[in-house]
Amino acid sequence: MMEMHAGALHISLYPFLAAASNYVKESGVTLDDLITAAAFERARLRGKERVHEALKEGTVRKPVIMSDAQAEIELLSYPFARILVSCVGDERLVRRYALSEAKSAYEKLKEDSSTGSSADTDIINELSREFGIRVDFVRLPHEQERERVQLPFVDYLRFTSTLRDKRWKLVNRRLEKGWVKLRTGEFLRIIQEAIYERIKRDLPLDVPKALCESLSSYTEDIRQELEVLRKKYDDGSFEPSSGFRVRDPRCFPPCITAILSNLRDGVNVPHSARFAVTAFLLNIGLTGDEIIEIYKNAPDFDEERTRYQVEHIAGDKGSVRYTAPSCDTMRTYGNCVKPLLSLSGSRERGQSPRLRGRGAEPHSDDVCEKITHPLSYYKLKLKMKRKEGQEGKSTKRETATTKG
Amino acid sequence: MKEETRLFVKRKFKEYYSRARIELPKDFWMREWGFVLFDQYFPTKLVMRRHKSFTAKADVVGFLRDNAPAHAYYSSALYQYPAADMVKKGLIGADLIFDLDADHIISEVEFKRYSYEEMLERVKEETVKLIDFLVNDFGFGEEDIELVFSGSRGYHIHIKTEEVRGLGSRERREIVDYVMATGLDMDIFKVKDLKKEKFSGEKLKIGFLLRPEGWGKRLLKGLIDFLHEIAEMEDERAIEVVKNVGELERKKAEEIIRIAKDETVMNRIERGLIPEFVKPIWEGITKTVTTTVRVKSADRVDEPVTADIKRLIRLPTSLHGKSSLEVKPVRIETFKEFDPVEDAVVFGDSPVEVRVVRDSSITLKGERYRVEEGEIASVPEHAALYFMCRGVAEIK
Repeated sequence: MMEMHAGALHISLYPFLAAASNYVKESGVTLDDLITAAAFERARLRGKERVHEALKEGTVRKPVIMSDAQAEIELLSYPFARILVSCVGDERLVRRYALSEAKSAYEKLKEDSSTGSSADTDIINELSREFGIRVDFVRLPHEQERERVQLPFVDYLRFTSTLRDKRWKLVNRRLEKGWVKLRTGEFLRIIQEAIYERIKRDLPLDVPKALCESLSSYTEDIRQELEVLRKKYDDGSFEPSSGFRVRDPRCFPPCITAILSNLRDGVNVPHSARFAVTAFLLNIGLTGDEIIEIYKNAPDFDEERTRYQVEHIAGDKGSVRYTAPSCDTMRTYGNCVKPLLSLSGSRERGQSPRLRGRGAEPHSDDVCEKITHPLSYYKLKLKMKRKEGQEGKSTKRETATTKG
Repeated sequence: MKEETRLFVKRKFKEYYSRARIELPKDFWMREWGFVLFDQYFPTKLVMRRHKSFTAKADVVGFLRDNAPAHAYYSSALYQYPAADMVKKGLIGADLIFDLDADHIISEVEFKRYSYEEMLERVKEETVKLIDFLVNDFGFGEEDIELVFSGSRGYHIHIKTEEVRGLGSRERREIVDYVMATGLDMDIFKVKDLKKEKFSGEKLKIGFLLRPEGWGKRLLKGLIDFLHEIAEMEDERAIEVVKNVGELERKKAEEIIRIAKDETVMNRIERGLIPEFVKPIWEGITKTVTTTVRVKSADRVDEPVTADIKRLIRLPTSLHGKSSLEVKPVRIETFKEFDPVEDAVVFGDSPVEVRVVRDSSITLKGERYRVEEGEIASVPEHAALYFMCRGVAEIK
């Protein structure tokens, strides 16, 4: 059993922190032990549970830690969960898992910090050190001052430029001499993004095949669960229900597919991307309701607001007010998935470009070279498909027009 | 442009490069360089020769002296292999660049009404606003802000600090949005819950507290300026102005003017305590302040000022092949006095005979030149080169 001292019980709730992984390292438990030793079966089961909860609930439950033994299980279950996620090797699972861990950590941190005492300050200091965020405390000129923390705007942008609510936009922030003021809760929300980035960063890990095979009893359920979800989203969300013609998700350009897949996985998608996807789908004939359905999985879904926004883009009765943005615009906002042109320059994200090449992440393709607008991509691809269908042995699918 | 003209201009550019002190950007060896030469395609077709890199300062200077390019650029981005194909360059980071060009700032409709000098003046105003944002809101030191006259119709700002280099295009977009007030929601700066401040006993009802920071500060200043202005106006005119801003009835407008002249109320407003009465004109003021304070980018919203990481930017101290003016670094302290058509002129005064092919006029070094199509004119060398680069005249 590991030797634990005071902070350990607490740390086990945040197993992605450097301190937590140091504990595991120093404990002398080897990877081999973790995977095979009977003593760690409970940690392994909890690890599997982590992934399951992430898939099913989009959250990872934080247990009440009463003993060292429990803390140990919690701590060790995390590296094991990462191994499982890596063995399954599905990009969506990676995102969903990372998001669930990060969200749950945020909830827990918020709960812990609601005391408003100096312990608050400690948590903030600790987390900002952990994630290399420079932080400062605002002295309180007025009592009603609720913003207590401030960050340099560069650090602020690193984690918020993908958050979509307008209050996160820098322009709506109290920016003075390079510092952005935040409430404690807002700071923690930024930490959630930092945690998400960290967990996702090196997943999937490079786990030897043989090792993964030996873990198939753990991964089998996860795969099945994933399959169920995939079916539900892939087939369900685009079935023509309102009788519009030609709507074939397989002909969508890779940028649109990428955004849709992020939305499906509950990843925070920037406003520009939401606009692009909404306009695109409206342009090809989806109804507002069908589009709102797609947003339901977004982390901060708000039906009323989504409806308002979708309807705004849709314009009045029938006439579509906005055309989907061009490839140029997509590129400008970093929504193009073309590898050369969508390079993210941020250091944090730039660190792992190799990951982008892996998994199920969509890339631009030959058709992208021929067009300058996502809608043209779709039209061209449909045409090509239809041609293929006629020339081939004709297992005609629903790509041809149905009703008007 | 005739061959003789091209050769003449090229020779003059060469003379400039052999005497000029060229300033190289920080970390120039990690940058990609690109040039447009006075070659046989010039100026009908501008061929950019890119993907060049230099490892020593003498090589850059040597290249400029040997080739006397019409346009010289370097990448705002830093690369591992700056001369490689785009795919293999290996991005390290990028300077933060703002490109304020008359093209972006003045709408097409307005364009025709402006002279070159007026246009430059307009862009200068926007540049001053931008610098204010960069210093006061973003906290950049004046020493971090490199201001450069573009050599033609605008100004460039380069920021090369370590911390901005890691910003991705999304993050950069947020900075552009900030200075252009895109997505600004003023209500976020209001504090409505004022229970903890004691206002009891005050006659005047406080509507809300406006936090004087970020855009809130700009708005508050706009409001105060507005109120001062109307307080000093002749009554009838003030009433008209207020009625317009708030779409108000006369009586309401009069009340606002009366309060604007009340010193105690004004003192309170200066602390961000906004009285109830301001509410009807709030929206109008917000709109006015936002449109005057923000850095404009005409109506072309999709023209990003700076979000692009991988762009080439003109080399300061090089020459602009469409104007013959210097891409001139300007100190912020002396920006007010800077006059491009005086200070960015690098060529001399000896007379040159030119054949004018198109009507045009320009003021250079305080002298006005107006030339007409078909005439043969003798003008100082700097004016001759300006007209030739503009495509207005050929060498005689």
